[in-house]
Amino acid sequence: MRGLVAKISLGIIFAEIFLALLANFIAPYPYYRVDLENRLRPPSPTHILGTDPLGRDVFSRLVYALRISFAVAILSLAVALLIGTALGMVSAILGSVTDAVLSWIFDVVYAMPGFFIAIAILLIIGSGVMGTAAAISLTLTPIFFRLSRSAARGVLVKQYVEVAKALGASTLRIALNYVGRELMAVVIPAAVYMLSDAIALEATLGVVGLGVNPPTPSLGNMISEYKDYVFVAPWLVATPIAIIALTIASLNILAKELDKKLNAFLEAA
Amino acid sequence: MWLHILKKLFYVLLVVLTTTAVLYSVARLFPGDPITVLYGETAPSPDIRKLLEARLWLDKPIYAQLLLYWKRLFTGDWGVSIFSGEPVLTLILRRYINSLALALATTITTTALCVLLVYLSTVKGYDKIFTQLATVSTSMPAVLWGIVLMLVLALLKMPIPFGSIVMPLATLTIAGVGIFYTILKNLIEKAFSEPFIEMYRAVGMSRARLFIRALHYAMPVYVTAVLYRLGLIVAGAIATETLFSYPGMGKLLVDAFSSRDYPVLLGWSAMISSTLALLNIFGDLLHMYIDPRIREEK
Repeated sequence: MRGLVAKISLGIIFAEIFLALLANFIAPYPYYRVDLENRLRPPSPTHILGTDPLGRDVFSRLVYALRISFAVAILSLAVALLIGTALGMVSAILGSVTDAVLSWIFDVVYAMPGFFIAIAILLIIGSGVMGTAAAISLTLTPIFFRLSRSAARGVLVKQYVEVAKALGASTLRIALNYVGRELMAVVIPAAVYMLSDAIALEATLGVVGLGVNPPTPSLGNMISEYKDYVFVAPWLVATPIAIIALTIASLNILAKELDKKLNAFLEAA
Repeated sequence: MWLHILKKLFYVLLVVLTTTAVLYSVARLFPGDPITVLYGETAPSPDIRKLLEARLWLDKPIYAQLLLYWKRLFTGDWGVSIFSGEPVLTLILRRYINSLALALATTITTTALCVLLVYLSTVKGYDKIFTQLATVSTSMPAVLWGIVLMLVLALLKMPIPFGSIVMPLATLTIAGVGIFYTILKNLIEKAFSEPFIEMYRAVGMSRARLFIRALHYAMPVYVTAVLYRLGLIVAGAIATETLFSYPGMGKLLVDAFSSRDYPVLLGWSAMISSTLALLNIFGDLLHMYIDPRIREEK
């Protein structure tokens, strides 16, 4: 039963990534094509998910929105993961002043609500795809920092690391070969969880109208554009919401499964 | 214990100073001349410009500006909003009270609902359904629940009450119940495996009364989690408040951001960072009050 749910989740995520990657082949119409004669049409064979207030094909927009939202989420996640984990490792290995300063900086960032951090970044960079990605990645970085710092500290006191040190292994070697390798088991499942956080944050920013700028579609700004039409055309806003919910739920299930598998693997090894 | 609190208060001060400093530098170092923002494209005469620059301290280096700003922050003069001309402090306080009301109301509804649900699941055995529902509740960010509620109201052909506390309250409760149900249920289950509950059971206490004992045991950790979220709602119901035009701190932030209203943004960050840090201290104190073991340790 559990395995089946996890497989379905994996299938959903793969299907979404497939749609996102092949958006230009799958979308039946360009996402920006306005057709004022056919506004707010309900779903029909020519427009599978109907048309929006400007007569644009909702299915085509949705496919491109998946591409944009996934790109923003994955990009911001990758940046946060690299910076956060690297600094966390450096902090744990070097200790003393470096550790104190880095921990203090990330504590201050972490103490503020994530959304506020995101807005501060948007103030500096300006909204848009890059600004949104930067904003999301900064809100996620402290989490990776804390996670990898505490995990790395745990690894550093292990006996085989002590032995390696005594045998004269360089700090870099210890960082990459021992600490880095053990961190993977902690950071990778966390990254899958965070991917769902990144998607949720993009959606939240989009709903408020701060994220990716229209006419470029993203799951968040589609909701923001269509939410005023709940009385006239409820299906417009229902589809992106359903997709976000499905994505987040699938990612959370996958992360849990991955966590279990990796830990079982590590214990066996 | 007092030393502990004093240390934390110092930390609050540090957080407020850092956040305002960062934001102030951002506001000053990035493009946009404040005087042009204030007076539009019609450039004032050089004399007036000089006067204005002196009034906004633009003739001083940035660290001096920052020190002056900090001085004003502690004397209660937070400047005026560029957008509305209203004093920032009164503007923020008004919005703050609204957000606080929302946060408290949400905490009460969420906690009441959670205790009821956990009671039903651990004592009456409706575990499976509620656990599934909790997963559903946590699989969407809060603001999307707001839109789902809008959809439901639209399908029922009912008007959506914008600007009132009802919609954000309902939204945040739905989004919060999932998280807190899981937390509380795990805590209660842990309590039920403790020897003291076994003892009560052996004495012959009913399951309902055992539940109350377990609840008492679970409270300290639960309260800490709730306080943390309370702060996040005061600050972070940003999207939900904006969606339903509820005049709280969240909407204030989005509005101030859209109009680049730096005095308001600065005041906002000072207010929120100190609130979050103070809530943290309050949490410690409350924890000590509820849990005698910690009181003795300190």
